[in-house]
Amino acid sequence: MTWLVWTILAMAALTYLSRYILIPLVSRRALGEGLKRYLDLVPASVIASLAAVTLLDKNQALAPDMALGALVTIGVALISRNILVIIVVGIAVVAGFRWLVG
Amino acid sequence: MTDDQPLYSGRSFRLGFQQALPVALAYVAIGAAMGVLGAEAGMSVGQVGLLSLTVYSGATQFAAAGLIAAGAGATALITTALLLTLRHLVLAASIAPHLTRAKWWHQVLIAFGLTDEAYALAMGRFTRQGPDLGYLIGVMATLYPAWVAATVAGAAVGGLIPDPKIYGLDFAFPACFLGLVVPTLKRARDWAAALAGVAIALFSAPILPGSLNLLAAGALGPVVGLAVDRAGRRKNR
Repeated sequence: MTWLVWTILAMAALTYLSRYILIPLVSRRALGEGLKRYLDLVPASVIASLAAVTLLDKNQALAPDMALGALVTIGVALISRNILVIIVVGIAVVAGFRWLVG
Repeated sequence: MTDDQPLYSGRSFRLGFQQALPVALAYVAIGAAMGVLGAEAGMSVGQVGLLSLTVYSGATQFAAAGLIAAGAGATALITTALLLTLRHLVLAASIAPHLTRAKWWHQVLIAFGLTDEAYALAMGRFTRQGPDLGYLIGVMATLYPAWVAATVAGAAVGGLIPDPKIYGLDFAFPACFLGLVVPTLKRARDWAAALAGVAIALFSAPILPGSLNLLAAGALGPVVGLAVDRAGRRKNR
């Protein structure tokens, strides 16, 4: 399947370009105050939406194990900034809930 | 971190490596599942490995395996990859102001490893401590080999790999994102941007193809944040 190898390479090029192209463009320019404030807010928006998307299942529903895990994770994140602890506690709660409830 | 502080240090590399470990564990579990799907779709171990080594994007790889299994051709695969990868434009634009002191080859390297999880971990660190290339490269050095090895192993040994859900490992990604976003929500504009991002991502998901809902969330959420900020300042005048 030589076509597949070439297709994979084309997909890789597109993925890489989308990750790279704006880095040199934005990093080399002196940004205006408005654009700086806008870009400052992008991580909160992107990371929160990634959290929401990964929490929901294919039908956009929130399963009880994920809901409990999210609540506990948010609680831990409010008192600890150690991302290692936050993730491990979240995983343990979800695994424990599934083990108990099935 | 100020301008005269080093952009890279072994200590921050080790910290990045360490903090990415639970995410790497999830990469191993999910990557193995991707490898199994790839093999079931008719891809060889080498092709699955090439996909992980060069594309390095979970969403694109899962979609590719599904399309190949369905007998899709090159055009469908490439179009899907494009739709799924466009969200990276927002990630790249927002991380770029932290990379002004990075050499061009650092930027080339960082772009390759800019997955959603690496971005989230890096921005969690950058917004608190300032630019820290060592940390970001440490994160990438943990995640990339874990993903590639797991997908290849999944394709090679297939059915021997247990379902990651049994161990709760599918929750590692939301836990990572929640753990990184919650401490950054301090001002009304942060909350507004985050909540608007979530609403846009969820409501536009059924309408927009690929991961364009995440691109829309990343691009439009901050506009709402800025509007809330402006309204707050006007009120205080």
